Amino acid sequence: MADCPHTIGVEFGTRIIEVSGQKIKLQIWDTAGQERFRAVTRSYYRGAAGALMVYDITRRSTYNHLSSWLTDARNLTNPNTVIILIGNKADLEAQRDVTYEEAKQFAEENGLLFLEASAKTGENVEDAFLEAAKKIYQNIQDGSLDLNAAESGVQHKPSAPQGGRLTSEPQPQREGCGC
Amino acid sequence: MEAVGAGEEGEEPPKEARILGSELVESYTVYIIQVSVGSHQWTVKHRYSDFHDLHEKLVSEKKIDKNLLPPKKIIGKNSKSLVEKREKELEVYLQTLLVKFPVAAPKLLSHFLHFHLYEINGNTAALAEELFHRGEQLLMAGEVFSLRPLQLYAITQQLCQGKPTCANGDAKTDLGHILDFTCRLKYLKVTGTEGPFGTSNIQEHLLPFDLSIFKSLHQIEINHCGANLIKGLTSSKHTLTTMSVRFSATSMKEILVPEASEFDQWEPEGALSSFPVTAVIPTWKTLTTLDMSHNRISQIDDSVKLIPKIEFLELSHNDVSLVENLQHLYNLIHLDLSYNKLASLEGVHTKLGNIKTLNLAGNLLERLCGLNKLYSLVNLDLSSNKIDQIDEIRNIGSLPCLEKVVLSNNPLSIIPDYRTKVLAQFGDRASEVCLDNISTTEKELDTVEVLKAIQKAKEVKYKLNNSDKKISEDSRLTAASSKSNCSSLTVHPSSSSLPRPVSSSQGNHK
Repeated sequence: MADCPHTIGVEFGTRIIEVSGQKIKLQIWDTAGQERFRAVTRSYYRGAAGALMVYDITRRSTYNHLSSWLTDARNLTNPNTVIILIGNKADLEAQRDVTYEEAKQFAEENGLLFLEASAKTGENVEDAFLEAAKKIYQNIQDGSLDLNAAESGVQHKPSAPQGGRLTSEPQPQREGCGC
Repeated sequence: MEAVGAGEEGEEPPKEARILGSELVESYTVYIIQVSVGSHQWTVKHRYSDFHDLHEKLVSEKKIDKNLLPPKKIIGKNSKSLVEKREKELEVYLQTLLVKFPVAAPKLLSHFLHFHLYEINGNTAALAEELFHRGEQLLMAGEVFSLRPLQLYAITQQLCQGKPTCANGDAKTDLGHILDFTCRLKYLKVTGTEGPFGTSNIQEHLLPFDLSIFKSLHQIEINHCGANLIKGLTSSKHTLTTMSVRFSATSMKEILVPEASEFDQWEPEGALSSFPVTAVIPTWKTLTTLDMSHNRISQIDDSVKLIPKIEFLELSHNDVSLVENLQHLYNLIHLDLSYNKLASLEGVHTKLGNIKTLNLAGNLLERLCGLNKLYSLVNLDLSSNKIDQIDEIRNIGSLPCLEKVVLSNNPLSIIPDYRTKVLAQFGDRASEVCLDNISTTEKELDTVEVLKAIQKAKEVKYKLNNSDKKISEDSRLTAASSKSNCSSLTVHPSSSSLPRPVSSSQGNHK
C-alpha cells in the first residue's frame, strides 16, 4: 500500500458475505487514522451501519487512543451502530504490548464486540467482518435497526442479480488496518 | 458535532440564481436563469409552467409554502410589464429555495437548476443514483463507461472535503454506490470538452481529479483533460493494459512518472543504478498499448523506461523531433510517429530493435539513411514528407521483410515513372512490395525488370572502369560506410549491389 495516495484520506472496498442465507454486500470505508484527516473521517460515521475500530496490539499508544475514537463514533452514529474492536497484529505475540484480557474488558465495558486478528496472516479478518454483519443483521431482524430510516446505513435491494441482498454501508474502519 | 457542521457550511460555496432576462419562443415566454455556485456558473431556461410544476411537487414533497410562487395569469401573460414583474418574482422564489436548502438541494430543484450537471453535490447524487440502479448491469456487460472530468472532479471534491456521503438524505444517492462501482470498473473513458462545458463557464481541462478510486482498470481513455491535474492514475498501474491520453498532455513523464515532480532522481524498479537515486518507481507491468497522440509532447523522454512491456506506441500529432530512449522498449512492434517534427532518422536502428510497423508520415524527412538496418520492418509509411531523391529509396530497398511502403505526397512522387523507379530499388523483391496501397501491375513489373537490367549494366560498366585502381580502397570504404549510420550510397554506387545479398541472407535466418 506504499503507493496509496494520501490526498483523499479514505480508501474504499466492498465484500459480499452470506449471513443466514442472505447475501450481504459490505461497503467498507477505510479511513485514515492520522489526526489531519480527522475532520474528513468524521463525515463517514453518518449513515454507517457498523464500525470496525482497529488498534495494534504491539503499540500501546494505539490502544490508548481508542476512547477518543469511540467518543467520535458514539457521538456521530446512531445508537444501534454496531462497533467491533479489533486488536491487529495478533501474529506478533512476542511483541505484545496490550493483553487480550485488558482489551476484552474495555470492549465489554463499552458494549463492543471484540476480536484479535492478523491482517498479515489473515487470521480472524474474515470473522471480524462476518461478526459485524451478523450483529447488524440481527438488529434488523429484531427491529432495533429500522431499514427505512435514512441513516440506518442499510439498504434492501430485492432486484439484485444474485437475489436478495443487503447493502450495509458505510462502515468506517479505523487506523489503517492493512486488510 | 458542531465542529463538523461548521466546517461543512464554511466550505460550501455560495449558491445564487438570477433571472437574466426572457425570450419569446413560439407563443410562450422563456426565462433565462443564471445559476452560480462559487466560481462556476451556467444558464438554464424555463417557462413559467415549469416553475409551476416544480413548485407543486416541492409543496407536496418538501412542504414548501404554497404562496411562495407568483400566481398564474391567464390574460396578457406575454405582456412586457407582466414578464418583467415575473422575472423579479421568480428570482426571489429561486433565491428563497436555495437558502432553504443550503447544502444539498432536493432532486427536483437540483434537476430544475441543472445541479445534476454542473454542481458537486447534485452531480454526484445523480451519478450515484444511476449506478445504484444500473451499476451491476453495467459491470456485468463489461462495456466502456464514460465519465466527464467534471464528474470526477465532483467525486474527488466530496472525498477530499469529507462531505457527508449522502447529503440529501436519499440513500440511493450515497457516494458509496459510486465508489463500489469505480472499484470494480475495467474500462473507463474520460472525455472533457475543448471549450466551456454545456451552458456553463466550466473549463473541464482545468479541473483536478483523482483516479485512485479505480482499482481494477484494464483500459483507460482520457481526452481533453489537464494531464498535470490528474492524480492517482498510478493506482491502476498493476491492472492497466491499454492507456490512451489525448489532447491533454505536454509530456510523457507527467502521465507515466507523476512522481518525477517530487523526485529529481528516480529509477525503475529492478534497474541497476550506478548513481544515488531518491526514488525507485514500480513499472507499468501490464501496459502493452499506449496512445499519447494529439498532445504537445516534444520529446520521447526517459519515462519510457517504466513501460517495458509496450508493444504498441502511438505518438502521432505531437512535436517530437528526435527518436530517442526507445531502446528501453524491447517489445515494441508498432510505432506511430506520424505528424511530428522528425527531420532525421540517424541511428534509428539502435533504438528500434524488432519494429514491424513504423508510421513516419507527415514529418520533415528528406533522407532515409537510418532505416537501412530495420530488418524486421514490414509496414512503412513515409507519406507527406520531403523526400525528393529516388536514390534515397535504396536505404529501404534491401529490407528483407518489407511488404507495404507508402511514399505518396512527397516531392519524389511527382517524378515521371515514379512507381516503377521506386519499385526497381527493391531488386528481386520488387513484386512482393506494395507501394502506396496500390497493387503492382504486370506491366509495371516488366518495366521494373528493364530498369533493373539497365541499372545492373551500368554498375558492371562502372565497376570494370574502376576496378583496377579502386578495388582495395572500395572495400575499405564499404566497411567504413556500413559502420557509419549514414552510408552515402549515392557516392559509391558500386557498393549498392553488396548489401543486398548480405541482408537477404540475414532475412533467411529469421
